[in-house]
Amino acid sequence: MSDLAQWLQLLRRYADAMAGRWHIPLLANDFLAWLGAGIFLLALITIVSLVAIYLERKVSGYIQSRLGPVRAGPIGIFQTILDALKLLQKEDIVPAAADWRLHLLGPVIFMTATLMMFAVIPWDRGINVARWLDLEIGLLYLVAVSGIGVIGIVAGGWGSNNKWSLLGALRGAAQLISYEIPFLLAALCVVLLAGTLSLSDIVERQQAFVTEWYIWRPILWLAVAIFLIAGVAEVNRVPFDIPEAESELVAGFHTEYTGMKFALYFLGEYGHLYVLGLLFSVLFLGGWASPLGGSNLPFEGFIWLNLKAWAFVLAAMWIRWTLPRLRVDQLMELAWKLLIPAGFVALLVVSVALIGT
Amino acid sequence: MTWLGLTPAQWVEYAAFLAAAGASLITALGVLLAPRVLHAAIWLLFCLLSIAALYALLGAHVVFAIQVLVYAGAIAVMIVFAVLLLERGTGRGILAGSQHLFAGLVSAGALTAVLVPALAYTLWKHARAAAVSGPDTGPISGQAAAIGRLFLTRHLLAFELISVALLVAMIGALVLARPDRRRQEPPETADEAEGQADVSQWHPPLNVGAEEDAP
Repeated sequence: MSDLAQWLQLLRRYADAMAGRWHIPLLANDFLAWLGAGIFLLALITIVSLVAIYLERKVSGYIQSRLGPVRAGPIGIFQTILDALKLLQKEDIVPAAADWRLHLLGPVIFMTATLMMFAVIPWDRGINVARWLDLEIGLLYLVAVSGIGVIGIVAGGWGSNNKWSLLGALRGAAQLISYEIPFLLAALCVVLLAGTLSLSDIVERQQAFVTEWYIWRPILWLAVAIFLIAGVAEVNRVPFDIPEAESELVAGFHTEYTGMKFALYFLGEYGHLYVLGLLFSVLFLGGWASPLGGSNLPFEGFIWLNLKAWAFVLAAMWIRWTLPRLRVDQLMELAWKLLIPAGFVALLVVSVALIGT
Repeated sequence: MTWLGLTPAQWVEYAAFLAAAGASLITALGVLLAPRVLHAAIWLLFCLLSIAALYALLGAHVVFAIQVLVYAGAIAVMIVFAVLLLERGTGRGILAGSQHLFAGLVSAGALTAVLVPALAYTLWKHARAAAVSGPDTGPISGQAAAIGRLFLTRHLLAFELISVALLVAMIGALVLARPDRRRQEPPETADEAEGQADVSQWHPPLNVGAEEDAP
């Protein structure tokens, strides 16, 4: 058992003892534990988004030979916090002709789908928010839930009653449906190799030593490439950001959003990128496993998992500021004519390699 | 510690069941009564999700995940996508509501006639099994592997038949979507010939800018 697990268990035992002293039924204590997990996730997504947006601006500045934010605080580190405070106080504008129910529902569904994906992420050995889900179908659940987010894009784009928003919503729906298939196929390759759908078990298969990481297996390299491309497309980032394509559609599906609703779309998007990084680390980079061998540092697994996930996030930013945007038809061709057949080839390669083992 | 013969955990389970069941009924009514097709589609999404919650409460985790993945994640999204393309693409609204009351009543009645005996039979079978060997409360594990094995052994025929049915549906959709070349009559004027050439090079409305690439 890891340090984080021991620490949580201690906290839990303390909470149970307190509950006994204050005559709180243990069930309410369970509920409090779930509430705590929820608050932890919300705080995590907020902090991750703030850091990711700051990094995005710094990385883009670096790549384009400029400074990025420098004014607020040393090297501009307070910039995104101030931006978040600004977003909080902005007026919430709903266009007069909008379908206000769908306009409200869009960001809510989008954010909820992202939040739900975190439920099965194994933060350390034996630690995730929903253990009963992770035990056997963690990956299936994660992929299933990520598919709901597109409804948030469509509801927001349609509910805004604006042609740019509607075009963005249509493009978003088409893109996300298409790229879910290669994404799933790439993840399936890992499932075949590991023989389990549980994310914790997939990490356990790789955690013995650095050389056990699945990214070193040549039969999985095609799957890694497909996962990277389809993953970046799943979070609507350049070169696949046609649902918001600012030079064509103003801001796409979130053109008519201000204030907190806009912030929810933003949080959902960066949260999704981060959870993809976590998933990539779990599937290919050994999850919480340390490449240096075990040590006694507290929260070691959590820190390693985060380092790997942030490496993925930084790579996604690097891609974003290096490549130009694809056209809609090129995007569809890439998915259906290249990535999906390649996904089947990758699946076939892994299956053939597994014969006789 | 029990209250009315149930432990707190059981009370929570009942409350969760009532919430999920109530949500599925209310959202199903929403599907029926929504005046706009897109609203009905969003209601349907929530209906499917609350049914998924019922599966989760029953401990059928794989069915729960498949329900979310296939029905909520794929089918509801496809319905919404089709509505978007049709309503805004053609400029005509899609009628929502019941235009086929009689046919609807007949099919609903037939479905009920099948479902109620099936439910009654299952309940009776479980009650008898429980009377013989006690209620089945053991942990459910390895569902995904068990279901996969059943698909490839006992239910192989049904599994393959469904695959064939899906293939037929896909080919049918392709045939319907393809511009019909056989029925085209030879063009009489130059204008008409140009018009027909445009039809054969038809792209979906999303394909902005694709024309420049066309040979």
